[in-house]
Amino acid sequence: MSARARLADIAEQLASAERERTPVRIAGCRSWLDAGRPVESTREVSAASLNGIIEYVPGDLVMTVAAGTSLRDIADATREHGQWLALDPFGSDSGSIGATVATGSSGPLALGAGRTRDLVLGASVLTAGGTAVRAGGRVVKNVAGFDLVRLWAGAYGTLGVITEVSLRLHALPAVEETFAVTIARADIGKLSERLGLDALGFMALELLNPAAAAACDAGAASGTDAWILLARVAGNRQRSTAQRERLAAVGAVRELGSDVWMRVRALDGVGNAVARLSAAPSLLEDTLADVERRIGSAPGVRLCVTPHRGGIRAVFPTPDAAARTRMADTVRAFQRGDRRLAVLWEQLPANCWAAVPPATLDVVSQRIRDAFDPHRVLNRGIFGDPAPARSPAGVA
Amino acid sequence: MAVPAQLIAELERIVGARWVKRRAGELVTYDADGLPGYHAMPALAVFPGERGEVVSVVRALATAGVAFVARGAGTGLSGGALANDVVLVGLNRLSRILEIDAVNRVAHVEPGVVNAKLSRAVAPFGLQYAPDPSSQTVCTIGGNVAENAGGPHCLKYGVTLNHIVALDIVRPDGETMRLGDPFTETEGYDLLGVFIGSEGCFGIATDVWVRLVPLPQAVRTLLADFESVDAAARAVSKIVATGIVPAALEMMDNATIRAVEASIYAAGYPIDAAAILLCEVDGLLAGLQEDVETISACCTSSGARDVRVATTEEDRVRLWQGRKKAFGAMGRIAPALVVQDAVVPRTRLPEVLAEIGVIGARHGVRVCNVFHAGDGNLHPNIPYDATDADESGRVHAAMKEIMRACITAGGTITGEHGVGLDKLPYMTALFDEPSLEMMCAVRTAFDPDHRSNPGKVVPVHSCREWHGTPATRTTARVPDHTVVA
Repeated sequence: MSARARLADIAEQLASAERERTPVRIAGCRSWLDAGRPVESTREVSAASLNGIIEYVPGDLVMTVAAGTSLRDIADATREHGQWLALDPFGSDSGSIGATVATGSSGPLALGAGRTRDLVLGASVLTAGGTAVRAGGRVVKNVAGFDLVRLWAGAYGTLGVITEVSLRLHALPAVEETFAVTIARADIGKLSERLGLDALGFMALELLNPAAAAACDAGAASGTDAWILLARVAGNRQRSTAQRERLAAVGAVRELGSDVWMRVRALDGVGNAVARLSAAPSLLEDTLADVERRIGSAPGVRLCVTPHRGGIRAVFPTPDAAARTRMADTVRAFQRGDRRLAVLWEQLPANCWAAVPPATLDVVSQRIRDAFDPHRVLNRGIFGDPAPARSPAGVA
Repeated sequence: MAVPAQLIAELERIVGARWVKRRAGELVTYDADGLPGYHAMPALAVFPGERGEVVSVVRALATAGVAFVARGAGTGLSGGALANDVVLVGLNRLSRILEIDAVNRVAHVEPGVVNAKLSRAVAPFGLQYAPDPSSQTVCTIGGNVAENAGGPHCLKYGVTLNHIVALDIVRPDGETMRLGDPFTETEGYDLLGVFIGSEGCFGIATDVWVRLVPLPQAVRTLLADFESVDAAARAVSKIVATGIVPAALEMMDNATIRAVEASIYAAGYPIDAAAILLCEVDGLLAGLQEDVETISACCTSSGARDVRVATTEEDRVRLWQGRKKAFGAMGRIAPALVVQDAVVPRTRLPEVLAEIGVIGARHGVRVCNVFHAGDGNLHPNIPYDATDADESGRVHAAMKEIMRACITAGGTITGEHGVGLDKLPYMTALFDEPSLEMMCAVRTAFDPDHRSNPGKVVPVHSCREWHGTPATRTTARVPDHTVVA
């Protein structure tokens, strides 16, 4: 089937779902099916067949790809030209770019290169009725028309099936190094102050608790309460050396292979509960203490902190039924109290979603949803719709 | 439009009679913005002094069903702040910096704060507000939000969109809402992202939280001159391919160099060069010299005759002055100036520039190119005599062809000036009808009556599909291209 025919096929599937008012689940490479809230659906529409690079002009540092293309394929194609898509969402490179954009997933590189939505220059979607809509373009600077791309990024497919995206690429830096610094828990509160403002020059800066450091083999001695600060430095040799010296003021510095970042991205694991927590960076010490209190005695919780952004990714192992039952209590513990801490559950065992308050969309968002999907057939329930009563399809 | 007496009385009650302007003599100040040659007289102008008054004014307008246009400093270059026989809501009285949170690197400001004033205010903390449109000494943060303003340094630092973390807005129906959050992640659609750059069509921002970034430890500025535009464009590609992200990477062609050097803004550019590149790198001092050497080598190996590095701050300021005042310098060539703004893929720059040259020659007009080469953002400008009908016609025709050439090359019609009224005719060349309809639907979600900045950004016929005829249609008495009279 030609690319055009595959697109027409998906458009027809969507049009018929809308005619029949049948809710559909949108899938890419199926690696993040249980990301976000449970979906109520009886049918699946897959964008995986939309695969491949549509246009790549290395000199422009812009690539246009079909939405089902995997991050790995994009990485392979760009590496040949000394370039990369500076996007490292938690999970792995087997995910599709369409799902990465739809879920607005980004990772540690967001500090230096921006979040997913900052790297998407343009996109095409099929609305619920199967109509093709395009916004943005293939140039790096563009203010023509309202920026629908921003809406589609992170909309979890509820504003249309993403079929094509144009991406901003970066040239690979001449020097790229990763350093690990051992830090005592008690010193974390002063970390930002000691690193200073210039620490924002790092490509990535993540602080791992002992469980997370052990899980990604970043070198924490077992049984200690040592945290590990991972810093990714890019540029030239002199700059890298200067950054290393700055880190040395905080603790002992070791160099690690850059593959540690793949292991950081894999921290979520399979079937675990994952939350994105955020608060003002200045509150880091209080926030961490608060999070630790809420976690209580739950074993092996992995924390990955972005100190300069005030973000914390928390991964809760839920290997068995007992853990999943306890997890529901943990979810409730995170719903109470401090309004300065924002809690977004990215992934949860099915039994826990009932403990999460339903997402509510403001009136403007409701109207936008109505414009793209008037009968709410796209990923119903995942985002701003009442959660389905029964056990959702597609949740592992 | 005759503004109902009851509405006038209500507006005067809210802001005080002295802040409601009704006489033609007072309103004429606001009959144009930074898009020269366009004139549109507001029916009335109202100037609230704080956020509560803005909300009350918008509610009064909503109750009366009257259309309005928000205005900051009026420096926009696409006619976005033209209020043709509707109510103009001026926001320049809301000019307070409410809080500087240096630890979290966020500032809370009112929309009328002048861009450069904010950067000055945060400099003592070692911080800056990075977006630096050329009009930054006058333009306001609220206007920057509306237009998603850029500037020479957005190559490295990003545009306004990348620097706004939250907004409090009042929608045209008078309801208020918070978009984004100053410190935390929010769930839901990125309404903040779609509001920024919505050119005043989605409501008025009453409070803005901006992200601040560290002032660089050190800055280095280079000037390279070339015997051909192609060679300069090759150098740009080589620099970008090294992985170094310059803070700015600007190009000027020979016509522009000559205009600058003949003016009081003379920066010492070589007047026989076909093109010059102005390149700036900043950040940590360590490693900066190595970047300078790498960039110099890229220029030399691309055929640069000479590469000069500014050795003193005065030298650096002088090099930049020529670039920043290039538009003004063109005023010496002819009394009027067409300013354009388009973007093409960077690799297409040489051929598009050559085509612009051919188009200019065919129509007998002189095109001066000055542009943000790093991101392919072109500003082809044509100085001419607006009183000469024949020349005006040729300039007009040439500009249309230039815009078409940029679209054909895979580019876009505006990189940083906005669509406003000026680029409206080109929107249908760029987007198909379903895409324009969905843009219109998003506008309708914020403003069901289309009373906020009516008739701008998306062609009216696209919106009609969704919402009938807008409540108040403007029939601006304006030409469809930019003219400095």
